Amino acid sequence: MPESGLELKPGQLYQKCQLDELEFDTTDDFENLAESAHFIGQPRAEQALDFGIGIEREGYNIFALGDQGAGKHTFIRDLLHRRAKKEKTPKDICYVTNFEKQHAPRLLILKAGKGKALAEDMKRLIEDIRNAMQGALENEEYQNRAQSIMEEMHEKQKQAFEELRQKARKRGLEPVPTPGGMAFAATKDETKEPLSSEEYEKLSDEEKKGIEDKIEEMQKEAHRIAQNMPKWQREIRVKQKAFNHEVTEFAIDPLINELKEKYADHEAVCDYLQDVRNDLIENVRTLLPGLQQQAPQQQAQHASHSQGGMEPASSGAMEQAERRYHVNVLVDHSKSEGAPVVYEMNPTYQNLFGRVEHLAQMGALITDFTMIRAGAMHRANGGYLILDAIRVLTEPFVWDGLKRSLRSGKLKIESIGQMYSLISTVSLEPEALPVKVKVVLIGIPHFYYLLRYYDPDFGQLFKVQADFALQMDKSRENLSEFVRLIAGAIHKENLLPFKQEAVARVIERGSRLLGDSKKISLHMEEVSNLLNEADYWARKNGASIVEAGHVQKAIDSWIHRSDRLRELMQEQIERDIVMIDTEGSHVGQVNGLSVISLGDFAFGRPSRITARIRLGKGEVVDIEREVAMGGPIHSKGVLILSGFLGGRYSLENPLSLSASLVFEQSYGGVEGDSASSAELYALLSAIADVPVRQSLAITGSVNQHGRIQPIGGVNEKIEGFFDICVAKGLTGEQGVLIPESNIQHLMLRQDVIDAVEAGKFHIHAVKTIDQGLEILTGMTAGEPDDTGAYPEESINGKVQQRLKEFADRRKRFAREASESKKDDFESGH
Amino acid sequence: MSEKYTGHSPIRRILVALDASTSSLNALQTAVDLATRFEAELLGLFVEDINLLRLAQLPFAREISFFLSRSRRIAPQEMELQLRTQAARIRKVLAQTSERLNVSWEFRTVRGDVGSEVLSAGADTDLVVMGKIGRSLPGMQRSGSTVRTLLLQRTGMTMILKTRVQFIRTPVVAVYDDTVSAGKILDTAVYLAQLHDAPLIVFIVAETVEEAEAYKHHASEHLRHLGIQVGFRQIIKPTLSELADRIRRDTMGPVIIPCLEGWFEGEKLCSLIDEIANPVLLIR
Repeated sequence: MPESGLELKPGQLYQKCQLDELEFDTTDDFENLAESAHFIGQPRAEQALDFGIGIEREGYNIFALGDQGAGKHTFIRDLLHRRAKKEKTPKDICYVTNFEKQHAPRLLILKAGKGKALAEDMKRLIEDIRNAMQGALENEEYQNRAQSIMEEMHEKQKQAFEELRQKARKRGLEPVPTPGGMAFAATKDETKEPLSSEEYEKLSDEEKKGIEDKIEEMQKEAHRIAQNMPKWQREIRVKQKAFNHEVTEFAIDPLINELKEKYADHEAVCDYLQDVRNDLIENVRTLLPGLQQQAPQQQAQHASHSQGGMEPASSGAMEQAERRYHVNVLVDHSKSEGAPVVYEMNPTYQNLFGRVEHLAQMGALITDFTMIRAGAMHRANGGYLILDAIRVLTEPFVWDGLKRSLRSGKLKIESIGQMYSLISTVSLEPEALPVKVKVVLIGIPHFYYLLRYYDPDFGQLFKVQADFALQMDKSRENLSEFVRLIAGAIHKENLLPFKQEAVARVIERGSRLLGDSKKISLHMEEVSNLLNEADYWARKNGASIVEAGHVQKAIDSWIHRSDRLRELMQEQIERDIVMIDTEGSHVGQVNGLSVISLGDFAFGRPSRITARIRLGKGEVVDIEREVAMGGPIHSKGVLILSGFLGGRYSLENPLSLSASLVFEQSYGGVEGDSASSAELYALLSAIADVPVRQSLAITGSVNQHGRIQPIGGVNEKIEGFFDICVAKGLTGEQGVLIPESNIQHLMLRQDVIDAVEAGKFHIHAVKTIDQGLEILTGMTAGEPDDTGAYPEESINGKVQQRLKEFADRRKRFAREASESKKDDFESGH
Repeated sequence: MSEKYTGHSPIRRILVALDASTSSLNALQTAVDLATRFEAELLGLFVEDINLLRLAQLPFAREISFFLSRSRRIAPQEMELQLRTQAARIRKVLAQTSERLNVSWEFRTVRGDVGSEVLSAGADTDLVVMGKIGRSLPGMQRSGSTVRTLLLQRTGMTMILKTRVQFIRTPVVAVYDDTVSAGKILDTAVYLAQLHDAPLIVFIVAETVEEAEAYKHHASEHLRHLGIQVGFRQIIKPTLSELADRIRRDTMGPVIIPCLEGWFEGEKLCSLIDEIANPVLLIR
C-alpha cells in the first residue's frame, strides 16, 4: 500500500509514561510514605467535603458521588478521621429506668466517660445498699421492733380470741378451729369435754334452745372479731411499712447523697438518683437475698404471711430488681478521642437506628430498658456517619427513617413491627435522643441525580455534593504525586517494591482503561488490584522486586481471564460464520468497528456494513431502525448522512435515490454513531459504484459537512480488527481508519505497535470523509469548482454524476407520468 | 416412691404429723431434709379429728369464716369432705417434696383423737417431727394440745418446730444437765453437727458453779472420744426466760433438750418451748 501522509507512526500509538525525572529506582526509595498516603486529584471533592464538614447548619449533609472504585470510601474516611480527631468528643448516651413510666425508659446524656462511671457507681450502690440493709435487718434492734409490730397484731388477735374463749366458756361453749374457720362446741359442765350428739339429744328443748341462743350470741361476737382482723392487719402493714421506710432511708440516704455530690454537675443524674432513692424505699426488699431453696408451696405461704414485711426476695426476683437500677450505657466515649466517624456497612433499620431486644421467657417475649441496643446513628452522634447510598435505599424503611431523623433532629428507637402495628406486644418507647450527625452518603452519580430529581426532601437534607473525578491530567506534578501515592499503597499493603518501569506500566494501564493517553486514572480499586496481582506474579517468579514484566503479566492474565467471549466471536469470524473480508474490494461494503463491554472488560469487533441504492425520494433507510434494533443515536447518525448527501451533491437537483444501510449479521441491536462514517463510505461507494478496500476497517462519526468526529473505545476497536487480520493472515495492506482527534487516546498493545513498525498494519487518522475515501478507494476525492461540480474522475465526481442521473431519471418519470395522466383526461376519462 | 433405706443410721424412720397448718408444712420440709440426710423413711400422718366430726353432727354446728360475713351450717359430710381435701393436699406436697429429693415416703390418714393417733403412729418411729402450733385460732402462739400430749407422753425423740430449720452451718445447741439421757444428747448433737458441718455449743445447766464444772468435765470427757471442737456455756440455776434468752443469742438452729428430767420436766418444758423460736429436739 502506498504511504499515506495521514498514516500514524509507531510513536503516536502509545504514550509512554516518563518517570525519569522523579529520580527513583524502586518505590522503596520514597520516604515518609505513611504520612503521604493521602489522596490526590480530587480538589473539587475535597473542597466540597471541607465545606460540608465546616458548615454547621441544618441540611448540610454530604452526598459523595463518583464512579465505583474511585476511592471515595478511603478518601472520605481518611479525611473525616483527620478532622474528627481535632473535634470535641461527644457525650455518653445511657438509658435508665423511668420509675413513673416503665415503658418509656429515661435518657441520660453525660460527659464522655461518665456513663460508664455512673453504671459502675450504680452497681456498687446497689451492692452497698444490699449490705447496709442486710446489716440493718440482722440488727437485733430491728428484729425486736419488727417482731414487736407483728406481736402487736398477734396480741390483739390473741386477746380478742381469748376474751371470746372466756366468754364462750362461761356459756358452756368451746371455740374450735375447723378447716374453714372456727365453730363453737357445747361442752359438758363437769368435764368440759364436747357434748356428743347423743348427749345433746337427751337435753330438754329449753336446754337445747339455751345452747343454740348462746352459740348464736358467740357467733356474732366471733364475727365482730373477724371483721376487725383485716383492719388490724392493715394497721400493722402501715406500721411495718413506715418502720421499714425509716430503716431504709437511714441505710440508703448517705449512699445516695454521696453519689449525688459526685454527679452534682449533672442535674439529670441527680434527678434520677432522687427517683432511685424514692423507688428503693418502696422496693428495697426485692434486692435482698432470698429463700430460693424453698419449695414453691412454702414460698407461696411465706409470701402470704409477709405482707408489708421486710422479707427477702428470691434470686430471680432479685436479679430482676437489680436490673431496675442498672445503667444501660448505649454509647461509651470513655476511650474516644475527638468526634466519632462511623461507617455502617450494613445499614439495616435496626443497625442504623438501634433496637430493643427481647428475651423469650416461658413462651412470652419480655424486654426492658437494659435490652436497648445502640445503632450507628447513636454511635455517630456528635460526629460523622458514612453510609452507602445503594444500601440505604435498598434496605426497607431506612431511607425514610434517615430523613425523619435528620429533619427532626431526634432519634427514636422503635421497631418496624411496632411502627406499622404489625405486632401488638408490649414494647418500650425509649425517650428520643437529640441527634447531631453529619451524614455522608456515598454513591454513584446516577443515584444522586435520581434522588435529586424524584425526592423533594433530598435537596433539603443533602445540600453538599462532593463530586469525585475518575481521572486527572498527566502533568509533571500530578505524576509525581501519583507515583508517591502508588508507593504509599505498596508500602501499606506490604507489597514488593516496584521498579520505576513497573510503576510507569501501572500508570499506562490506567490511561489505557480510561482510553486517554493524556490522563492518569484515579480508579484506585483497579490500581490497587493491579499492584496486588503484579506482586503475586513477581513472588511466584521468586523475584524480590516487581518489574514491568510482572505488571504486564498481571494485565495479560486479567485479560485472559476475561476474554472468553472475545475469543468466541473472533473464532466465528475466522471460520467465516460471521463474514468479514480482510482482503479485496467491494462496492457498497465496508468494515465498521464496534465495542462490546462486558462489565469491566471491553473489546472491539468488526462488523460488515453494506449499502444498496435505487431511484427514490431522497431517503436513506436505516434497516436497523426499521426493525427497532437501532438506538436513537445510531438513527441520528444515519439521518445525518442524508443531510451530507443533499448538502454536498444535490444543491440544484432533488436527491432522488433511496438507499438502505445495514449492519450485516447483527442480532443484538446497534447503538452509537461511531459507525456513521463507515456507513457513509459504504453509501458513497454504492452510489459511485466504486469498490472499497476490505483490508481496512473504519471507525468515527461524521457530521453533515463530512468532518470526522472522535469516538470512544478506539484502542479496543483497532486491536479487535488487528486480531482478526492476524488470524486471517497479515498481508501488509490491512489497517484501520480512525478520527484524527482520537490520536491522543491511543494506548495500543505492543504487538499492534510492532506490526505497524514492521509495515504490516496501518493506522490512518483522518479528518474528513474525503481523506477516508481516497484511502479506501485509491481515487482522488476531488475538489468542487466554482459551480460546485467535482472532477468527473474523482470519487466525488462519480457520486455527483450518479445522483444527477437519478435526478434526471426521476424528472423524466415524473414528466411521463404527468403526460400520461393528461392524455387519459383528454380521451374522456 | 423411692427404694427403702437399708443401711445403718440412728434414725431410720421419721413420722411427720401434718394438719395443713403453716407450722406443719415447715415441719414437713424439715422432716424431708432430715430423711435425706439420714437416708430414712418418711411417714406422713394426717389425723381426721374425731372431735370435729362429732361437732358437725350436732344440729347447732355452724362454721364461722374469717373471710365471710355470716356463719353457715356445717354438715358431717361436708366436714369429712373438707378433711379429705386437706389430706389430699398435704399428701401431694409430701409426695412432690420427697420425690424431688429421692426420699422414701408413705402417707397415712387415720381418724381419731389427734394426740393419741400421733402418739400411736410414732411409737415405732425413731423421730417424730411436728409443727409447734397446729391449726388454731388466730393469734395463738403457744404450743398446741397435740404437742403437749407428745411432750408429756412420748418416749422417743421428738422435734418441735415453728419455721423451717436451716441445718447447714447453723450452730447446734445441746443442753446438758448430767442426767441419764445427757450422754445420748451429746451423741445426737455431735451427729447432727458433723452431718451438717455446723458448730456445736453445749449449755451446761447446773445448780452451782462447782456442779457446772463437774458437768463440763463429764461432757468434755464424753466428747473427747468423739474428737470434735465444742463451745461451752455455763448457766447456773437459770430461770426459763434466762435460758431461752441465752439460747436465742447463740443460735437460731436446733436445740437438743433432755425431756422430763431435772430442769426440763412437764409444764416447764412446754413453757421453754413456747419461749424460744428455735426448733427443739427432745430426747428421753
